[in-house]
Amino acid sequence: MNDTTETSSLKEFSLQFIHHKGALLGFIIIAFFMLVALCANLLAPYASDTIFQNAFRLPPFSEYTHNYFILGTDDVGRDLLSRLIYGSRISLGIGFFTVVLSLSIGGILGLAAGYFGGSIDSLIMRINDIIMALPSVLFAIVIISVLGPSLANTIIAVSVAELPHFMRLMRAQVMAEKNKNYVIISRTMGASHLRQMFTTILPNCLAPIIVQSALGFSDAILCAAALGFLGLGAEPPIPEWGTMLSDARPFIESSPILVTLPGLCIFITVLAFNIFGDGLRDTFDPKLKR
Amino acid sequence: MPLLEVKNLTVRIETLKGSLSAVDNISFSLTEGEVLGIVGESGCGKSMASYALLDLLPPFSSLEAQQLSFLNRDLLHASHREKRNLRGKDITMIFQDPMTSLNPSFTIGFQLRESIMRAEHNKKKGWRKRAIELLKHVGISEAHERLDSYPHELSGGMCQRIMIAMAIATRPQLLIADEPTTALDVTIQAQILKLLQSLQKEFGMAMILISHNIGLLAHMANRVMVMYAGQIMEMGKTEDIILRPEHPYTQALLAALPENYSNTKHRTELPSIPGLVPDLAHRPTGCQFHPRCKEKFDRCEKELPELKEHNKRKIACHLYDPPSTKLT
Amino acid sequence: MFRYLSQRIVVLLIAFFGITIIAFSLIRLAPGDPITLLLGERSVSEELRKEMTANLGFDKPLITQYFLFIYQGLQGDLGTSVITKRPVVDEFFQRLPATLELGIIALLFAITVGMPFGICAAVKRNSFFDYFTSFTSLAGYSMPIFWWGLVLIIIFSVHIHILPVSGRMNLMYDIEPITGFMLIDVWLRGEGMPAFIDVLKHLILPGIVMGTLPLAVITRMTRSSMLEILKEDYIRTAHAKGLTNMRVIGIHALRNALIPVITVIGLAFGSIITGAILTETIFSWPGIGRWLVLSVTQRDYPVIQGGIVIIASMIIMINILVDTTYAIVNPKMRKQT
Repeated sequence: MNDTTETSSLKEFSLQFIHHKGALLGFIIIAFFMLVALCANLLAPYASDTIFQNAFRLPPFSEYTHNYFILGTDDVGRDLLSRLIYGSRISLGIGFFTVVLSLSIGGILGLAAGYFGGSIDSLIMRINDIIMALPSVLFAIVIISVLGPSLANTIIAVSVAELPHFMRLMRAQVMAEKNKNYVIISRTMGASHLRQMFTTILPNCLAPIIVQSALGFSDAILCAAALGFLGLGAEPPIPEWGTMLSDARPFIESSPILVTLPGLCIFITVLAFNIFGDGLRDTFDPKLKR
Repeated sequence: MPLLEVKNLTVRIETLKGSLSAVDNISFSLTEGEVLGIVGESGCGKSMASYALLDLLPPFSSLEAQQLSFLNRDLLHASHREKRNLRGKDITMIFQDPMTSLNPSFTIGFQLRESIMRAEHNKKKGWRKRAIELLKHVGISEAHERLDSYPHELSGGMCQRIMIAMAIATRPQLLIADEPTTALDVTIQAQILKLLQSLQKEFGMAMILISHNIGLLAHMANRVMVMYAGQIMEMGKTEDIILRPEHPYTQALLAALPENYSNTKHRTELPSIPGLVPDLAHRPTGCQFHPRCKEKFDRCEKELPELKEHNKRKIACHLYDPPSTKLT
Repeated sequence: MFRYLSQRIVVLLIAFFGITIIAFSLIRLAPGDPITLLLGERSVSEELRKEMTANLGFDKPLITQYFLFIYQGLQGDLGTSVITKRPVVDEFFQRLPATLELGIIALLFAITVGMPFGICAAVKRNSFFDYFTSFTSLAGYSMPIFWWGLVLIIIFSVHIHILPVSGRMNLMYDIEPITGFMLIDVWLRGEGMPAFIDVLKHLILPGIVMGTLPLAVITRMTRSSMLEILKEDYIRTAHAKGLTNMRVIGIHALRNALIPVITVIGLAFGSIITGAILTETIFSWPGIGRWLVLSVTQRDYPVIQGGIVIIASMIIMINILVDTTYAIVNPKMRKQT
């Protein structure tokens, strides 16, 4: 009985989701980039760091020493298309690890803050206030200034900067749920704190957290790309889109495509995650519809 | 001369399930100084019918009618501007929840002034005096201080008095009161109704009083219109309808009143009409009330009864309408 | 209202305290010896190193060092830049007007465009205009502004040559700053209209770039807040009173819809700082954003340290201001004690 309602609500959810054109579009674009990222070594014509001697900044569709470059080459003679394709791996990877990190840490802190309240709540919320006292990109820069620029440090810095989103959301959700009857009943039946937090309350807080995860992906990709652009992100020769953009800046007049395409990739990926997240929210929260 | 004349009014709402008729082909009229009560359960299109008159329909809804006129002015083909000029001046309205019907960001004085200005355009100075006069008129003491209060500082009954003050500021010809007491405490309800009654007598204005409580209308209305699923079931003089109800739905409404019910044997049960108001997307065939009617017969399921004159009233029920086919 | 405000202020002060701890720890957590970091990458003699350690108090316990840091900070001493050897506070306030001028232009752009679009989109709900506005604001929200800036430069500066690529004004105008706000200084220095227009032209692209994110946020917020309000009963009352559409939307709805929008505008200050970091880097704008980025790449720790303390205190002050405005605009809060 419980199973059938579960599946039917899942079915209804997917139906509504498909009807939400924006969400579907976002999902398709994300799926496309994920596919590209997963199959990068099959799709990319060359490795991301292969340097072709003297093939600097070739225009799109050029041939040079029997090598064909669909989107041309960059300033040190690497195939732009291959770098963009491998770049999707980097950006989606950063997004993924960042969301996993800040979701798990921020989620647990928020859960504890909301569930226990009192001094634990105050302590966690003050940490939250400190992170929020600086804009997230600036906070990430501060962390990078200590750790030094690298791909791994980018993920750490962005994760910390994104923490408040998950912490606050989870806390608010838990506070709304914890005094509902089903929680009180499970408490009177003697459930332990851990059991209450993770099996009773947590599943009922998931919908907004899932939405926030999609939006967190876009924030993380954007923030990491900004760090890359400032020269504080992934170390060369990693094909990170933001770094590529920044490397190509001196050639903005002669080879604008080197600037345009990496940025376009960032923009479309981020937009897709935002559309997807908005669509998810609409589907989860029927009140907001129409 | 009728003040208001409504013929074949239908209000449609566009929803995801398709186009629903919240008000289905109703006709009624109102003479000057008359009080018409509209009664029915929630979702019967009572409010929609009155909103349609004032061009206040919610988004995604539209109306069609054969005739819609107020004081011989054609409202059906009037411009938005003409209808707006009528609203809040010749026809005013008060609503169900006074606490949410007043704007929380403005003082009572500000909101009252807007209504006063509708009547006397150029008198920018005297409004305060007039506002105090109006507040006293609706029984608010310390009117001076009230002008600078915000709605959240006042009680529900007080807010409804202010809504009434706004509604009478322009000496309207017609006041539409949409469930004016539903959101209030029982003790306050009687005060508000008495106030409305005395103001109606004093100004001689016509009034449409919408309520789900038929007992309340008994004291107030000259005529009563019973609505169900957007249609008129029974309409006539109050004493005819209340004392000698003929439509099974009207009878059921009256029987469901606590005061009538307490005389019968089942004292422990709360009075109610079994069944639910039909979902407008899945209207029953034939008479809309037949699934809940105690006296239904074959014909009720197949044929929609027409609204016909019968025994000093208009009624839509097959019980009182011998089929013409039988004679042939 | 006072209770609410004092609670908020206490919370914000605690956050500020946290930021000072972070700033204080930066230089001590960073790889390498603090003295070497403070003196730059030069090799120093052992005596000088010892003398510096004692002078700067690095031989004292951490707690003492921290209180020393706070004590000096309160007296307006946040250290000296390793690169320029000038006090951080002076450097900061010398660059602040450039960032503020740009930020004000960006916010003005965002508010004057965003609010009307948000209001119209809500009023004409589900129309083409509404979909257009919603999509555009989502696109603005997703925009990597460093890329956006470069694209605008490619279009308006490289291809059609109508707007300058970078800087605050043409090099032919050599204006010594008085207030630091060039739009004002050109008049104070008597340069007149041509110089003013030149400064304005230099502000357009960076202003748009910096204003894009706040624009998107303000548009979305105005629209959703307005949509909520338009469903309220008192809007129906206002219509029933026969008020004009203009008055119902512009006064009755807007006043209530503004409450959340003001909060968003206040918070947009944070995104202005983020915007400044990126925008100033693109347009070679001599403000605090570019200064901070340079200091990170040059490992100029006193600047990073001082910079974030000042920025955090400014953001916190703005937050207090927003909370106060919020309490004033919302009558329900005003009367509470």
